[in-house]
Parts: sequence; structure tokens; C-alpha cells
Amino acid sequence: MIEPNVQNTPFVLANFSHDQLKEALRKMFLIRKFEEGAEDCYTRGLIHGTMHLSIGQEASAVGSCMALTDADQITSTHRGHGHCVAKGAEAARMFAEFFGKETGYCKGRGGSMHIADVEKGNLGANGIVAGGIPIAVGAALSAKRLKTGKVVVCFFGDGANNEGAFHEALNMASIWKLPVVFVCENNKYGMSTSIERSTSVANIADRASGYSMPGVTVDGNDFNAVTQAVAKAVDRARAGDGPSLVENITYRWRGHSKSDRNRYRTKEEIADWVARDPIVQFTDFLKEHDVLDQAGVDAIEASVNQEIADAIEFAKASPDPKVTDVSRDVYTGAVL
Amino acid sequence: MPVEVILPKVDMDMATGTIAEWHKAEGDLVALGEPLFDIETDKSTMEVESPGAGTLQFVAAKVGDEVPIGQTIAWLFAEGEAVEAPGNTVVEITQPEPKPNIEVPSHSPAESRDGEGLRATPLARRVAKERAVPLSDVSGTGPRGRITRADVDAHKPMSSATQHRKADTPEPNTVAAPVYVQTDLKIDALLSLQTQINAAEIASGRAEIRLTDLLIKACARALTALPRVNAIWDGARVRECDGVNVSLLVPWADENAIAVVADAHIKGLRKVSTEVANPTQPEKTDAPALPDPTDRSLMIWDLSAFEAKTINAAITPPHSMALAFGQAQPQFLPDEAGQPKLATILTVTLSCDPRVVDAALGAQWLQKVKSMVENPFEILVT
Amino acid sequence: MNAPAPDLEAVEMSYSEAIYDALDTALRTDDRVILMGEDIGVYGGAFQVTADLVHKYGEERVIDTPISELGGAGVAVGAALTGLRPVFEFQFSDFAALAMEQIANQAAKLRYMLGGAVSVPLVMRFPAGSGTGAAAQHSQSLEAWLAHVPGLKVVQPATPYDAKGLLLAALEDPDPVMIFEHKLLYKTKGQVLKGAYCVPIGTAEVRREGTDVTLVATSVMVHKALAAADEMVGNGISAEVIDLRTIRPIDRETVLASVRKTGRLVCIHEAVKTLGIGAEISAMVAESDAFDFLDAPILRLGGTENPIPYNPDLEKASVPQTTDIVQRVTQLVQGAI
Repeated sequence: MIEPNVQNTPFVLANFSHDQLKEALRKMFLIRKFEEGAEDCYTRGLIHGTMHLSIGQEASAVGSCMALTDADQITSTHRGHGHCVAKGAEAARMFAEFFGKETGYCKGRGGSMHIADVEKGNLGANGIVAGGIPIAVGAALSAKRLKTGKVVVCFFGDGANNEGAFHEALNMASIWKLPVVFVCENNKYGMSTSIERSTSVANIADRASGYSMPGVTVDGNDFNAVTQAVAKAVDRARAGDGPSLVENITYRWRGHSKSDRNRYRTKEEIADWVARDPIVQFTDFLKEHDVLDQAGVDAIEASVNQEIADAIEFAKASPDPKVTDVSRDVYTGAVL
Repeated sequence: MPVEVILPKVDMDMATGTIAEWHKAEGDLVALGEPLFDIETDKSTMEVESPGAGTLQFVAAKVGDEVPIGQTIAWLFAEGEAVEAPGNTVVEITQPEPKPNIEVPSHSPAESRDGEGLRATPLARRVAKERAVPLSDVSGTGPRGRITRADVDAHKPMSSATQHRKADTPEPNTVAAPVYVQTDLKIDALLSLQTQINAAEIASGRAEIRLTDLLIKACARALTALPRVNAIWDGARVRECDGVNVSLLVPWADENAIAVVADAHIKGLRKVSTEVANPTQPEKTDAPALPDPTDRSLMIWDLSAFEAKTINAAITPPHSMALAFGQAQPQFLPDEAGQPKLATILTVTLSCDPRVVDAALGAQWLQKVKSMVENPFEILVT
Repeated sequence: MNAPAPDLEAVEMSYSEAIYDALDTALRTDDRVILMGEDIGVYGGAFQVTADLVHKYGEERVIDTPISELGGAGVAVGAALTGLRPVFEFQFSDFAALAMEQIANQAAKLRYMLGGAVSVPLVMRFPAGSGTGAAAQHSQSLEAWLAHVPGLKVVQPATPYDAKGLLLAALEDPDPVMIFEHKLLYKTKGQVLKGAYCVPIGTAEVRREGTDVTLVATSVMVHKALAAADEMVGNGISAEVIDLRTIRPIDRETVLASVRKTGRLVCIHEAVKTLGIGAEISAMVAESDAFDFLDAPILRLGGTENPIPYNPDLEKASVPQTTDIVQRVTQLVQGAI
């Protein structure tokens, strides 16, 4: 399926329609504005708990899902709102989940950290660093064994690359040649600890060689680069050639969570990355290649703003779960 | 449109925040993302960046104010924007909530008395309740006196040999105003007998016989000797008791309790003593058919644990008499030669229900008791 | 006299043969079933339970995992989440500690966290218990760890019949079922039906009826309790023995009904006494109406407060033995406790 990047045509233009690319931009806006809306609701005390925002990482989320079908699956992380939107979730049900409502994707039981949309193949965000990695390998085992042709994209952060589960899972995916693509969103800090201080290799993609799989590091804020690298890995997986590791170098503009006091990075560093806004970059790219003009961008942004406003209204108006249902769905049938 | 500056939630479990510092003053020009103010939370101070660009206006929270999250605390006006007070600028400053005044309920005396000292299994409690048997009437045979179901089964209400019953306070003597008869008992002979008996008892590893046990025997014998006294008022008339059953207010129990020694006139001293001290049930097999223990005429009040010579005891139904004594006193009495001789005197007071036992009859019976006490070998002859 | 229907015909087999039989049945009849674990293929498993299954069903379905308990458990969770029916064998139950993240945080919670959108039909097998001289890290009874987590079901078959029936029931269950198999039971023999059958998860079994005291036991302790009950007949004590079989969810009614009848409760398990399943049973009875039927204190007999030691005498002293049961239960019934 992949058109090689010859004739100097950027990969995404060679492989995706204009409508698909506009939809990709719309999703990036939707992620950004969803998270800004969520942050606003949070600071006003409308959402409890905490949340981990991926503002600044939108190209990684959307680009990594470009080659996936609705049947393909992903596992996500605690910084997973972007993955959820990229895989096709609706903002309204996501907001409903954040507000703890029965209409939310997890019926108010999961919240930000466990957001999932199983129908669209999102097997769920995970509150445990690296928790989703072996699960992705298990899903890939199912795909292979049941011959469904599905590919699994396993998102994880740089922090997860030092968890045992990461190493165990990559090893098994490799020895069993499973259709899984490991996508590391390297945003440089595991909470406050930089990769330089935590990780023995220069690039997390270097870990791939230890498990005999291809590993590539790309600019995670470059939609074209991310899409190209992950699509190649997805093709390889779908062809039965086994797993790959793609490392998207990116940056979260916000703190680790809402409790972050930002003591470990400078304002200058943050400003540098804000200047490399993936949405601005992709917008410029699309304008440059005449996929859409500023009016088109404005229209997308306006429609996303409206979608977010409607989604928040839907969430606010949705019913709360019944307290008497607190133990529902612990088991599949009635048990206790 | 001006940009609202709110007190943001910056932590889990945060309901309010205190303004620690304003980095900008009213009228200052502020850039997007510039530090605007600091919030003090439980954990530490958190810097809040400006949510927009413009001139800071209508600052409504000052340093030290505790503000609920989500409250508007200022506005930012863009260049050229008319500076007009937007709506909602009134800040509710939260008052620290007074700590809830939690009252610790004090235990009522009844509750604590109920729980005290009585051990019973849940099953024993339930069965006793079903049968309306007061657990305090049941003797526990388990470890530390625990009452089990078997103990409740063994308990035959109204027919046990010895009953311990809570005697919180004697019920008001509704019978009639009592008449009192008092006398001194010279108990040296009784004490001497007690010493002899106990020398043998201790040698054979048995428990000592108490003075009270001897007095119970003496009274029982006296009741046998004068059956008219061994009677009660049944509500309408005088009725002679079936058997000689003597109640004793047990002063050495944890709480006032009444032991009933049924057929005390025919029981040996050891048996009387054991029943008073150790109110266990007799083996079912040798439990004789006993008279109704409500059928008892005399209650002995043993107050020797206290420094009282004697008291005028109340009469509690069903009894018609109460015999009270305190501590014995050494006293010089003239001997046959008229010389002072040290004697041990126990002063006793008999309270009589005059409908059953009038003063003369009471005195007559007391004389019999005195005779038994001062010639104690009569006690043993049964 | 008619011969019984073939699938109801009982045959004698060992506990481990019964598990093998269940796995064989499942692999044969359900293509979604896979086995995963360390050395379960040609080696046959540390306790030879999976024996020759790899030869019957191939390496694709009887999968030797690397020595990666956490990763392996996670793969099993992911596979269960997406259409397979994995049976994951831990070499020793002690190694569950390495995989606790996937068991307790993922398998147990995924359905709930996702608002009921998924199920995790995962079976895990844990060879457990002491008595083999394998010392502290290969002898534990950790079932209460897992039973403390809502979302998991935890069973402890004590007989070959139940070993097969509960494993087949676990494979039919849509939720994660943890099976603790006592290593000393693997060679014990009993009657097992030839065909496929399920022992319902969440049901206890009265193994012996009695009137004086209820002994609630699990796993290998069921056999010790039964031996103790036989011995106590001589003391004039009639003990009822309940094989709990499932420790989450507990079969409340069977236990409570027995306690209402006997008025005395003794809980017996090999796991460390403090905070063990016996504590849960005791509390359950104390909180119920059966409390009113108690005619003696509740007793728990469990493992002593130490790791399982190597020395055989110490090892024995660390878990309740039949003589301990006889002694303590007799004291209880005779009113000495």
C-alpha cells in the first residue's frame, strides 16, 4: 500500500486523500481543544481527580493511527486523550466520561486515565506505566491466532521503556512475530525525570535491536514523518513480518499532571517546543501543498470549537451513574 | 471580550486556594503565560500563569484570601477594550469551616451494667431470650464462667436449687410498714465451732465454711422449729411456705446478688456453703424436686463487709422477714462470777411484715435463732 | 441394570491427570483455548500437568513463554481481552508476585474501568503450598492476596473431580478465574467423570455431615479436616466438614447453614492465619444471623507467622496438621476454649 517517497512527494500526500488529511487536521484540533476544554473545566472544579494533557503531541497521536482501520486496535497510556480521538472517539462521550457520567465511554467508572472506545479498537488508556504493552502483545497474539488480519499499535511513553513489562513484551512479540507496532511517544520526561537521567540508550528506538526488530526515531511533531514511519511498521506487521518500534520525539507543553509545579524544566525549553507546534506545522504543510486555505483552516477550527462546546453541554446534561450501581460490571454476570 | 481570571484548581482534592502573592497589580499590562499570581495549597505554592494578554482589572481577591476554585478573581482587558465591570466579580471569600462538634455519646449506666461481668455465647443469649430466662440467673460452666446453650438448657426457671438474681435494689416493701426486733447474739461458741469445722475442712482440702453459712443453718432450723413464721403474704392472705428456703443477699459477689438456698434446713453445711459461694447448677441427675423458690419467707442481709453494726433492712417480696447484721463487736460481758469477760457480739435486726409475723412472733422466732447460735451443736443435728 | 451414559462414567485418576483431562477437553473442543506458561511444552510443565499436550495441539496452542511472568501474564490478559481463552500456568504460585500488576491492576479491573465494555475470560493456574521442601519462595499459599481483589474469582479444588470440573467451569466463565492447586494434591486419586462437566464456581461442598462443629477448610486442609473428623468420632464429636472450593465469591449460605446447625465454627487453611480466608469466613459468620447460633468462640487454624522453612519438621510445624485440628477442635467442643 505504501507509495515510496520518491519524486519528492511527501509521504502523506502520496498515500492519503485530501479529505483524509483534512480529517487528520480536524482530529489534531479536536485533541487540542478537547484538552484545553478539559483543562478549563478542571481548573473550575467541574472535573475531579487529575488528568494528563498531551497538548503539543497531537501529530504523534493522529499520525500513528493514519494507517489503521477501525478494526485495528490500539492500547494507550495515561496521556491518552489524543489516541482516543485519533482512533475515532467522540468528544461528547469523552467529556461525559471526564464528568463521571453514565453516558461516558466507561460509564463514569474510568475517567481520564482509563478512557477507552472498544468499538473503535481503542482497548483503553492505562494508569500503569507500561501496563498496556503486554496487553497489546496479547491482542496481537489473538490477531495472529484468530487470523483476523488486525494490527495493534501500542502507545507508550519514554518512561515505560525502563519497565520490565516493556522488555518482556517486546521480546515475546519478536519471538512470536506478532502484528504489533510499538509507538513510543518520547516527550523527554517520565514525570520529572529526563530520559538522559533515566535511560541508558541515546534513542529509545535503539532498544529495538535488542529484540531483533526495526527501530526508528522520527520528529514526533512532524505529521508526515510520524505517519510514514508508523505506516511502514503497520504494513510490515500486517504482512506477518513481526513487530517494529517507532519513537516519536515530541513534547508535552503542560506539566505531567495538574499537580505539576514544573520545577524540572525551564520556561525557555517549553517556549522552544511551543514554537514547534505540530498543528501549526501541519496547517502550514497543508496550505503549502494546496490541500486547504486559511478559510478552510478557520472553518475546521470553528467547527471543532462548536463540537467541543456541544460536547461539554452534553456531558453536563448527562445523568450521573446510580450509586446503587457501584458494583456493576465488576464481573460479567451477577456474582456476589 | 475581557478574559476571565479564575482561581484554578491545581491539585486533586482542592476545594479552595489562598492567594499567596500577586505578581501583577491592577492596571498592569500582562502577557499570555506570564506569572500572574501564586496559590498556596496544602502541599506548596503554585504559580499561575496569565490565561490571556491585556490590562489587569477588577482584582477581587487580595493576598491571604481563601477563594473557592473556579471563582473569578480578576479580568484582563485587551488593548482598546472598554474597561467596564463585567458581571460576576464579587468574590466569595470562604470562612474556615468550624470543626464539626461531634458529641461522644456517654454510655448510660444501664448499658454498662448490662455488659459487665456476664459471659455468654450468642446462642445462649438468644435461647435465654426466647425462654425469658434472665442470663444472670444462669450459671455458666464454660471458661471464665461463660454461659453456653447447655447451661441455659440446664437452668430450670423457678425450680433450681440456687438462684442468683440481680438485686440492684430491693423492691419497695409494698407489704406493710415493717416492725423491727433487735437482739445481740453471742457468737463465741459459733466461732469456735466454725474454727473446729474449718480445721478439718482445710486439712481435707475443702473450702472454709463461713459464719454466714452457719447463720443460714441456724435460721433454717429456727424456721423449722416455728413453722408459723415460715410463711408469706400471697397478696390476700398468709400462706405457709412449702419447704424452708432461705435467701441471702450475697455481699461478696461483684454486684448485690441474692442466693437462694432451698431446703436449707435439710442441707449439710458444706452444701449450703458451696451453693452460696459457687452458684453452679446441680447435676441434672441429682436435682431433687424442689419447692418453688419464690416460696421463701426470710432474707438474710449480711453486711459484715461494711462497718455497720446492724441495719433495719427492707422486706422484699416474697419474703415476710429480713434479718440483717453487720460486723460483730468484741464486748465485755459479766461472767457467772460477775467478772468482765470478753465476748463476741453480733447485733441482728429482724424486720417483720406484721400481716404475717407480728413483733411478738418475730421476737419469739429470734429467740429460737439466738438459742441455735449460742448452742450451735443444734445446727448440726439434722 | 443399564450401563451409565459414557460421559457420566466415572474413572479413577489423579488430580494432575484430571487437570490434564480438562485441558485436553478444552483444547479439543474450543479452538480459542491456548495454554501459556514456562516449560509447559515438551518439558510437560514443572509438575508434568500439561504432559504431552504440545504434541497433540502444537506449539501455537501450547505456548512455552520466556521466563517473563509479568509480560506473559500481560500477554494472556491481552489475548483474553481480544477473543482467545488463555490458560496461563505459573510454575509456582509464588511467582504471581512478579505478575501482580497484570493480575490485580489489569485483568481484575479492565472490565470495570471500561464500564463493562469488555470481559477478560482468563484462567490462571497456580501450583501452591508447602510440603515439598522447596522452602520460602516456592511453598506459599497466596490465594488470599488475589481473593482480596474484586474482579477476580479464586478457586481451590481439593479433589480430582473438582480440579477438572472447576477448570472447565473457569474456561466457560467470562471473567478471570485464578485456580490454586496444592502441589501435594497432584498425585492424590479420586473418581472423575470421563466426559466434560463443570463444578459451579462459588459453591462449597459439605464433605461430611456432623452436628457439633463446622470445619470450613480449603484445598489440602479439606483432607486433614476429614481425617481429624474421623479421629474425633472417638471423642464423641460429630464434625461437619465443608470444602469451601471457591474463596471468591464465597458460598455464604452453605457455611451459614452449617454454623446455624452446629453452633461452632473452625476455619482451617494452610495460608498464614493472619488476614487469611479464615478471617473472612469468621467475620462473615459474625456479621450474619448465624452469629446468634454460635455457642463457642470461632477458631482459626492457619499457617504460622513465618515464611515456609526448609527443615522438614519446621515446615510441618508451619501449617496445621491433623493432630492440631483434632486437639483444638476437641478443646473447643468440650468447652475448654
